[in-house]
Amino acid sequence: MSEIENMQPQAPESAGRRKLMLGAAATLGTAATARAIAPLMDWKPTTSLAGFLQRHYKELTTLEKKDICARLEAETKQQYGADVHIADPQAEDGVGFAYALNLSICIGCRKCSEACHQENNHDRPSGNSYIRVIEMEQGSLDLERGNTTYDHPVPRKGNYYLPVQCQQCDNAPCVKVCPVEATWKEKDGIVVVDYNWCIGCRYCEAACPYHARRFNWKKPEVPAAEINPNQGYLSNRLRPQGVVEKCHFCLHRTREGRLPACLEACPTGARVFGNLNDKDSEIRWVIENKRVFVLKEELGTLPRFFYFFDK
Amino acid sequence: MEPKAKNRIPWQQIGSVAAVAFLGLGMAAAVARGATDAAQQPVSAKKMAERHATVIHVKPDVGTLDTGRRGPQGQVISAPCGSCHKQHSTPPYARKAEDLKEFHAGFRFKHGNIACGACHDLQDRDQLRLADDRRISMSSVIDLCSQCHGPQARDYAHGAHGGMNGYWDLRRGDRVRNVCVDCHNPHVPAYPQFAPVQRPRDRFLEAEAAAGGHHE
Repeated sequence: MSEIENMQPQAPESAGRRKLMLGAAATLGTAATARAIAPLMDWKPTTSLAGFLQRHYKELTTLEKKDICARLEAETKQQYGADVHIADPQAEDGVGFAYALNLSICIGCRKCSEACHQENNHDRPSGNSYIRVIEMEQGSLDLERGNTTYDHPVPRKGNYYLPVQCQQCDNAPCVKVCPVEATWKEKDGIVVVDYNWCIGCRYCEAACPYHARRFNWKKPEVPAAEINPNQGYLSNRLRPQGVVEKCHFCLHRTREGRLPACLEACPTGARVFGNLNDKDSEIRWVIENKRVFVLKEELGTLPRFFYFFDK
Repeated sequence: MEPKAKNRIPWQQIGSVAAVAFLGLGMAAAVARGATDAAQQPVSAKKMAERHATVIHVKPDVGTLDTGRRGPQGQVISAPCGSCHKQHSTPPYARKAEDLKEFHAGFRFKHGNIACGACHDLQDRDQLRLADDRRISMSSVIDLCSQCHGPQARDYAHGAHGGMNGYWDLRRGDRVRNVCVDCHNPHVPAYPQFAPVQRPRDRFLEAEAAAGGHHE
């Protein structure tokens, strides 16, 4: 009894404290919630509504593609301050691209890698490129023993150099694993990516046995003056953050009949590019007259990228 | 098109030049397949008409020598060989680089065991001399090199040596081919060592470098 008696006079004071506690908790809760959603408030949409609602590349009409390219050009102007032209060159009938590389001539200067970096508007701080040149031990094809970060005068005695980029496989593992069909093979042999359809799951990156795919961890940073304005929707336009990209045989150049940037940059002429369906082409001559091989043939990927030694 | 001086050669002439070069070779056996291919399969004239030119680049300083002097803007002053050799009586051709005196003293030469006169015309030093004693201009140097370097000439004729710029599709545009001396110093032809560019940078490699470099 005495306890109840004791408590009764205290009741109003207890209610006041409870109210205070509730108020404090509510204030703290609101503050915590506000803090928790602060990143959302700071979030600026990186994809426009039109970009978000855009359908798969293969479902688009020519007119829609034109509008999309115009929108992307405007976005590039707004975000990078650069005037660019984004085209969508189509694969040609009777053309099947292939590449060959003479390992006896390659000196490992990485000029191809640099040309790719510039041509394809790669992120400047990370020095990204679709080409990785591996310094190999002579007499070995063991990629595990190769070195990509060599930093000494080349060519070094006892080594040869193996540039690796997308092999444009006819039986491409990367295409098979894509859950949303954001990457596919075109009829001229080039495996392309629709950067606006890619969800960034990176399955393709894991599936590629040639380590040819790259992920955009962040939005590429390229100074306006360095942006290559000659761009293609499926090739070197500036990629959004969170999507996968890869070598596309410079399709914005090669589908116009020009040579890829890496070939033009090669100071030794180790690279041969052309139309596999043209029996008079340089690439056909190489395949018919040199002892060509492909990387990891046993995987059955059927690459369109061939290597050969002169001797 | 680069603003450099160009020697315009239609595509079909490259085939014939290559064929002539091959037929003149003593090492026909080694390149028999390439040579007969080039000689027996001329691309039809009709097809040629549809094609753009393949232009062989002419190195602007070919046939000249750096005098060691520099112009007011620091530009290299080079002179054609004949500007000295035609002016006054010149000593007989040296056989070896070590025999060169005066102006050419200290000349670096590392190209087999051949004498100066194997390539240079003894009378007119602005010209080159083929093994069959025909004289050719400095810009036709491919014919000279092809005499010994048959496999390279064969590969070059098929677009698999020497590099190019322009169009893979000659129906749509021109192509510019490098010439031997664009890449090879004829007197020291081995490709020199130099520092590579564009070292790859990524988070794994940077971490690896910080931890003491590559695992090898």
